[in-house]
Amino acid sequence: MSVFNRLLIILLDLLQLMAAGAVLLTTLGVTPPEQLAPTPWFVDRLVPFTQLDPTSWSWAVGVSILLLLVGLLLLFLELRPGPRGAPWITLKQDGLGRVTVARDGVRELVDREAGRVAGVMEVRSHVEEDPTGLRILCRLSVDPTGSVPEMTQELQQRLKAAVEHHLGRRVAEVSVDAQVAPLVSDRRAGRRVR
Amino acid sequence: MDSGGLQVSEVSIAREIVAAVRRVPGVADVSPGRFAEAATYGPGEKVRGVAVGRAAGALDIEVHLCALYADSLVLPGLAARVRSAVRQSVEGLGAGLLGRIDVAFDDLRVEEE
Repeated sequence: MSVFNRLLIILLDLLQLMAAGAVLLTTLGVTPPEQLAPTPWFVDRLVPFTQLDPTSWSWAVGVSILLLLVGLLLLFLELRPGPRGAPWITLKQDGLGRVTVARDGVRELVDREAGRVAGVMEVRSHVEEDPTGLRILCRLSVDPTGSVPEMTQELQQRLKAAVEHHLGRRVAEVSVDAQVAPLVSDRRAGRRVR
Repeated sequence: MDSGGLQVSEVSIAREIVAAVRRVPGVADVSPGRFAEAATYGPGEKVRGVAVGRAAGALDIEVHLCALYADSLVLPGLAARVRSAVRQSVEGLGAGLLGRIDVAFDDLRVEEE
């Protein structure tokens, strides 16, 4: 999702939270509409909630609480850090400064190296970093006429050697998930190598 | 910082660094930044790819670049050559003490055959 779309969702979510909160406070009689609303237009919208019959009052309170909870959940989901962590990988950090590489650049490198292995039709990789080193997760669509165990073994050795050579970082693990069928599109298109 | 009585502006330093970094073998070009714009701003001018700042009397420099992908590419080695080029260009300008030199590889470029 683009930054603009994300900001738009956060803005609309905040508006929803404000509106639901104002309706709830007005319905419960905690605060008069004049103190809550920034404009006369909004006061006019809130005043009817001060004169509700018991059934409508229950509905108004229930729906407001539900909207508040949904709004808070959406805000939490939008503001939490991404599951992949930082978008770069630190190669070196010393008194002179820091050397980093974009995580997507490493992913492209992995895809390119994986594409050099005979029998690999399509690649989709993911690179993670932890204290023991880099972890490469590679999903492949492979040629069904080849030997998948041999192919995956060659791929693991090749990726580990290539990434350690180019990045100078230890590769702790290369996980390969191979399938004969084309990769199903999820968050991004896989790289076709044949 | 003074150089013969003249202060070298951040934007002049950034221009020199961009030229020096582009001459380093293995560098395809400087990069404007992948996640946020990396640039040095001067009066009516912006130098993309290098951010020059001053902290505690020293120059902090952040270089964003795109490396040429090749089998021989070793990013830490390339970063060391880039830092060396930055250091030489700053010292050549007499722009003052150097602090940090951060190097960010924003992309890897493959030369089309």
